[in-house]
Amino acid sequence: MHFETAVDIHRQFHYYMSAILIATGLESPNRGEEFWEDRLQSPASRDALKRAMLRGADEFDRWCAGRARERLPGTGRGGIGSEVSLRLVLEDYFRQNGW
Amino acid sequence: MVTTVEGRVFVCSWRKVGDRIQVWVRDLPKLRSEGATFAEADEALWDVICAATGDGENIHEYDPPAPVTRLPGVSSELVLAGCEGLAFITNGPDLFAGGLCPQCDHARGQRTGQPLKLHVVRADDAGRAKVKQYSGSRLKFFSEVFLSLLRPAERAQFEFRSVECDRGRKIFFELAGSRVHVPLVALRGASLDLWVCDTCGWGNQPMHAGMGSFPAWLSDAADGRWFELPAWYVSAAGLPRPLPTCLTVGRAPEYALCFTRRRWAELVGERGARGIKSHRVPVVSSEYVDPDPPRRLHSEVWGQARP
Repeated sequence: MHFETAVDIHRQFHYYMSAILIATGLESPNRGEEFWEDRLQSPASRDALKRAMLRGADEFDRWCAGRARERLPGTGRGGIGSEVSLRLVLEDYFRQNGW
Repeated sequence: MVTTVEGRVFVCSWRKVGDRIQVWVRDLPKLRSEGATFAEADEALWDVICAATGDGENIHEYDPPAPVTRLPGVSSELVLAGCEGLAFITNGPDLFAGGLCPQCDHARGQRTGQPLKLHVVRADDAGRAKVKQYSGSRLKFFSEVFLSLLRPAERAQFEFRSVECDRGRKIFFELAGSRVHVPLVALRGASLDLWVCDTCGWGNQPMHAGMGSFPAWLSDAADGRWFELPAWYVSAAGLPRPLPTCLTVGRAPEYALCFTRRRWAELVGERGARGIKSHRVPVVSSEYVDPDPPRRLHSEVWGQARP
């Protein structure tokens, strides 16, 4: 796979997240924000989502470190593809939002 | 073409050509893809839109509607207008006579005369906002242009109130009341995460989501593709007769606007219906409904956290 632009990294991030969310018994992220707002009315769902996202972040971080980060620092959303690990970005988000 | 906010709703079309399914963005037909199945083509279109626009959370609203599996016990379907616009309420505690519940943050009492004040983050034609930033009751608002798409008799069923926004020129109205309102139901045999607040008695609405939540009779019918099953259901016994072309579902004050499939087909893609993602709401016969699903207390479920 070639990754010439930040969009490529961005797409890869979504591939990991979609695949892992469905594999762990959750839905695709692209069902809309209203769906997910209701979905997170359950602490079990929130925990499952948190675990899935961290797992996805680890996969993504491994992919980035091995293939993309050195060539393309990027300024992807939330630091994706930058020097910051996605796991750290997510852990910070979860901490700030009381997850 | 670059987008700055992800999660845009793209109105798309599809057709079958031979044994392949072709899908495309209606206003940007160069953004297209195909696959052996609808799901495969739709997934490929997500990739095309992401590459072209940078929107990795792109959402597809199909006209004609995407093909669906026929479900047991379902006589017809409503369409829930998912409001993808986003705003924050700046005067949440003033909006309800009893303020907000100190435990679950949901609204208590009747709606006061105070106008809803919003800080709009994403101004589509339909949006939602919670009374306490990220928690508590979720209120819906619609643009003036969206309301103009409704027939006078349809609008008359609801109470729409002017909204005060801190920026932008778009005029919004809050959906503050409904005279044609039906509850969402839990399906018999479903495993749902339902809770009721110890303090105010508010309970979250039945939502079927996640691999383990659907009853076997439903997931079997979907041939294992549980993630494509609808999340919300209503009982045929609870619907008004004759069925109006639009109504609300859920629990006050969290009204969700729904349409008949035929009426929604007239609105989808229209100027004024931007940012609406439709969700299927099957109408099930009463023998498929659990009239009293188990609920746990908010304190047991959440502890000190907020939903």
